[in-house]
Amino acid sequence: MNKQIRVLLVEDSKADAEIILRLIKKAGYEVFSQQLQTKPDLQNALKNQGWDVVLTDYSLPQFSAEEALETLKQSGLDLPFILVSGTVGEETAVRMMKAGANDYLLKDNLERLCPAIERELGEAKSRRERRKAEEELSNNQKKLAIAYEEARKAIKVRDDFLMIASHELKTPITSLKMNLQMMRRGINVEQGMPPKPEALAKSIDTSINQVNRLVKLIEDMMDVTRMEIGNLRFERSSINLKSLVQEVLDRFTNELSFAKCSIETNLHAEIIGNWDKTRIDQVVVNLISNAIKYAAGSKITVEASKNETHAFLSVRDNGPGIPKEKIPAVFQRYERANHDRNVVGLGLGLFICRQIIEAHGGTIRVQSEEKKGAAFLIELPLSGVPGTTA
Amino acid sequence: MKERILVVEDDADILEVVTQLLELEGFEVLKAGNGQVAIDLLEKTELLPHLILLDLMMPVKDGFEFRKYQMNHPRISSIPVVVMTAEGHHSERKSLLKANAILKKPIDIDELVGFIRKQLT
Repeated sequence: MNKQIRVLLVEDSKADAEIILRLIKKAGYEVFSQQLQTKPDLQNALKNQGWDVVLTDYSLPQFSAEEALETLKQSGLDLPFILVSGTVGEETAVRMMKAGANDYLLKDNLERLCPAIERELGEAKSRRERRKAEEELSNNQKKLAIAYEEARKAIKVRDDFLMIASHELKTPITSLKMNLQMMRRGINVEQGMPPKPEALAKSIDTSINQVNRLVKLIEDMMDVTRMEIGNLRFERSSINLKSLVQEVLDRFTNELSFAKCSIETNLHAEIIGNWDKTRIDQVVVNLISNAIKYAAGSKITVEASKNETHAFLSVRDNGPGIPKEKIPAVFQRYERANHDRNVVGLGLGLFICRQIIEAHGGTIRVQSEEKKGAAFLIELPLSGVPGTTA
Repeated sequence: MKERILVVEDDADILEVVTQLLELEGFEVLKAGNGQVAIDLLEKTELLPHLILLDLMMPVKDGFEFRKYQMNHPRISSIPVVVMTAEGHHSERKSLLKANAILKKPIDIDELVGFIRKQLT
């Protein structure tokens, strides 16, 4: 089978063109060619990809080899450019070669034409391959740089998280240790002071609370790990949302009064859904404790309503709100709205909320403006399963 | 006369047990849930505390900000400060606090009382 070659001929003489093409055919090529004489024609021809070589006469009535070379360069294509001329002097030839022509031949001595074309095709091919390899290398380097940067960020996030986690764990441990020491002191025989049962009972209760806080922190961390590997289980049963919210608020009575937060509720009585009670409880707890933490001294409004298919739950505060740039990240792992103010917390609460709500087929979103409080809005299908739309 | 101690701590449980301890030790205790509450309290009161027990990581106004405010206000700048911290801060930042003592959480109650008594003599 013949080798194929696509030749652009910038040539005004039809006879010369035929001689050139015949020579190439003789060398065993199947030739596709286009002969042209003007710059616009060359520009148009170059728009069609697939040319292998440009052969150019030196001087044409409306065009020159210099212009043809310039036109080829502007096209951005890397095609061998060979000057084939009857009139070119050595000086011109050298100038053209310097400008980027690959070779020059005299029309009265065309023996070298085919070897020159073949050599230049080979070189053009290796230039293309080298460029491709370089591009691939550079793309891989970019990918590697991006991956490295991502890994570095992830490690930083983990490090920050570990620091916060250790602070969070130490808080209940501090309280626990001090309570235990107080009790030990209370029963110190040398001091001759019998412990007062009320004081002892209080210390024990507080200690139990601290243990519960530790368990909650550890469970949050475990939940996040389970969510990451898709291993969180749900046990659905018939749940009354109003009673659930009310129960949570009752548990928060002390914390609410300590933070000087008032609670306003507007809870529809008959919202019954098929949900995991512990998990939905966890969501409400996280939202209320966030409101207390970020909006101490403010009014917290909890509302629940429903339509035929969905329950709607919102928790609103009048606190400092969430800065606009932080809003997209609030439901992500390890995110806390307020790093600089040293608001404590693991930054896992809202991430966990979102995972739980989404596993029930619902959505959670936030509305907030700086200094105007924050509202967390939940839509939860009463069926409690994904695939139901509001 | 009982010596007064202002405890600035955002964790209600720690605040309570510290209060219980200090009252048992014969001190009068003033309580503040964060740096801002402490500043408000100090501005209002005529009976300034003899010592301030200060947590660092707190919402609204943290221990560092409180300390900065305190050092810039001559009326309260000389009140000794004992810092309680769960670590996690760089030591150079801690030196900015110029605290009289720094206690690491979890705190030992005997150590805490010891530090306080030492500052008050």
